[in-house]
Amino acid sequence: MILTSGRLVEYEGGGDETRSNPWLAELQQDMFVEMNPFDANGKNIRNGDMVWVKTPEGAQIKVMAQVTERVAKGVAFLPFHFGGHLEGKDLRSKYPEGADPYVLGESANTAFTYGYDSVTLMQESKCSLCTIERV
Amino acid sequence: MSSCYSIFKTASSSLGWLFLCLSLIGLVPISASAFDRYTAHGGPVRDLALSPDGKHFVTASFDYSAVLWSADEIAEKSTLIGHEAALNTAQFSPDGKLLATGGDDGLVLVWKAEQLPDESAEPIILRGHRGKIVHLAFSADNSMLASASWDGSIGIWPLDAGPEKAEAGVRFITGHEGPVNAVQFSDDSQFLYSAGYDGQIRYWRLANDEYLRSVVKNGWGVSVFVVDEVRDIVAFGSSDGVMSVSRMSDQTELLRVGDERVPVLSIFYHAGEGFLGFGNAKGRVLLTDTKDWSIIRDFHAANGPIWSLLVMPDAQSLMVAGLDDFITRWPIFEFPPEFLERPGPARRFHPKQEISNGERQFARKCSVCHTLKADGKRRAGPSLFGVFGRQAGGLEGYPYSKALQTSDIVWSAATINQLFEEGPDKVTPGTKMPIQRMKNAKDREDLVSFLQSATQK
Amino acid sequence: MARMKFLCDAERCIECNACVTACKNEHEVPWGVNRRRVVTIQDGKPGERSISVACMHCSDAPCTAVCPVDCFYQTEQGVVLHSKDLCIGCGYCFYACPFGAPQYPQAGNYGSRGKMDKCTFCAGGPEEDMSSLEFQKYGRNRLAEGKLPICAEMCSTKALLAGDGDQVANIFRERIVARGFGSGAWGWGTAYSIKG
Repeated sequence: MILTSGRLVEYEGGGDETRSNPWLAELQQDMFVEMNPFDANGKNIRNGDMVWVKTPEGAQIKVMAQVTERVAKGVAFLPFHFGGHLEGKDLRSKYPEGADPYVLGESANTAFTYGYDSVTLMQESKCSLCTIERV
Repeated sequence: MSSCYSIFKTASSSLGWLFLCLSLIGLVPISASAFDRYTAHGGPVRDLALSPDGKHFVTASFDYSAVLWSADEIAEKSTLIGHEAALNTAQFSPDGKLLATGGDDGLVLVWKAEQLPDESAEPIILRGHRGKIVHLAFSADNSMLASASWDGSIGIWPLDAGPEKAEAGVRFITGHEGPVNAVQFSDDSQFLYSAGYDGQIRYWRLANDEYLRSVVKNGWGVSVFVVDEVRDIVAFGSSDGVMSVSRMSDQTELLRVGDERVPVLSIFYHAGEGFLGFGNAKGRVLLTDTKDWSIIRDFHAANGPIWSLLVMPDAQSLMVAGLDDFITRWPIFEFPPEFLERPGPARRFHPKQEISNGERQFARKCSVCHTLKADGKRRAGPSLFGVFGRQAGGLEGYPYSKALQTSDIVWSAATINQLFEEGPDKVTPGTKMPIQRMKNAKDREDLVSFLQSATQK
Repeated sequence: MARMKFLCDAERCIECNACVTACKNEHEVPWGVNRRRVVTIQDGKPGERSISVACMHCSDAPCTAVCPVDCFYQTEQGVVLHSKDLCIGCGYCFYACPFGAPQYPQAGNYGSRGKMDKCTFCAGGPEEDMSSLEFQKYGRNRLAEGKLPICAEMCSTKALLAGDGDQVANIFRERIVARGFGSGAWGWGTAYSIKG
């Protein structure tokens, strides 16, 4: 499936500041992947199920599935504001005392392709590939 | 003020008796009074439950107790104590052997019906819910009990091995977005219907707790509903005031009353006698004939919300329960012209006459749960008569929580003052009293001095 | 005297949650209590609409009718407020509210929920206006300063309108004339069907 990433209203950038804000953190508490109902049905995934998003780089991230028609068939969307989980493991204990944000989640960029822009060296964050399966 | 109230209370139930006796002799027609009131509780009555044999009914009240009544004489038989917070719902099993009650304490209590007249009956306590329980339903084959809770889940308690084993075998069905308000089993006990704040009446397969579909998708929260699978109808009341009956299979609307934007809070259905009734938050009762959905009665039966209603076994009168301590019985068919004057009960919360600040504080903040006299009627909290110098947890006959039974506080001007300065959660943690704090020192002093004179032995 | 009302224009709401965040921040509302929330229907499909919902300060408020301790009152400006000193956290008002406005924090003596909390139209409560006690219990009192609720002030598209009912209705009417009826004023009939 085609994998893309993008922004959320509630968070900004890497998310460490905004996920530490109680008002904003309460509004978006889980990292998720948006997928089309057609694809979700085919993989027996229901809204709210935990899934593995696996990419050709060998990366795998464990996120909650949001089954919605916001994305087209064959496309999956990841928000990139989360951090603090690595391949399904919660790394909250690694944060310095009191510095951990309220909300942690998988980091989308760890799953993206190696490609980069040859001039600016900007990472390819909008166009990648993945497979998704239930946990 | 409180003494007038108790005279009124005794008078109304004895007047009711008087009319009954006189009517039997044929001197006074039974419909001479527009309504009869029966007081047993000290707080709002949230639910009425009729036993399947029509001989008894139970009232579940805010005052932490339920009362068993005989249905033909409408007389109190016994009080059921066991809940540690306000009760919300009561339901008899179809075989009449069990009574279940649910309350704000998140507990389902199951009582053996044969023990009910004995006031020392010990219920079986079913723990598991994390929020208040607002509705209960038994399956037709008596094998399961379902509980609708504001923790968003539905508890399925297996009864085939007896209610004592139910807590061990319970499972919780989740899926509603928000509080679940009502539940009902399908006739074959294989499926479950549930209604919630999310506006949906959901249909579940019990074999695997799977959500199959929504029978009703209403834009506003559904508070009450009834499904009759044989007649293929679903009736519900919603929080924006709609009272609706429609065919389940094709959603054809059979009845829809939605002119008053007042939440519907109660429903009553008797397929056999052909009644369907709704009650709303402003006291309106709508009673329809299920043969043709014509409206039999549409009137204001109370000065506040109708939390529960039922048609009595004689099919001639209607009992309603609401914010008042008493339940009211209205005749359905013979309506004398003067019935429409809706009497207002003396709401002790807004004392009209000039009273001292201390008395006002008591009336507004304490009187809903406490009385001041020795013979103070049943309330959520113990009577305060003689409270000064009394050890906390010391009043005979009141079912205190364990925390207060073992407390060594002695109530005095200083300790009562402290109770409301810091709050019951700090001074008497783990007890049944809701958090009430009075920040204003003058109000606390006035209340204490009022109590000192009013509760003197 | 102005009769205060809310109106959320579903045609303009973009679900940005600025109203929610502004309210939380202004009144320091604890986690789990949602005085205001944005509800989205038809999410992801054509005809997606969002509405910001909070207490509508109804003309004939059902919460007031069902409260067993009578802790609600309505100000001259039509704002429905309640006293947390009298509230016993029984939950009857949540049962009665069509909009789900009453909220209950988890804390409470022996499992009972704490005192009910809800949108105050930024008008505080029965404590003295703009005192610190009022802020602790009910949040900021903006109306006493002559300001309007912060949710409406913060709305990025001016979908959420709050203020004098007549003026709010006029603004909405101008919009309808310009663009067509759209989703209409959701909730307006339920909250204000009775004059006043």
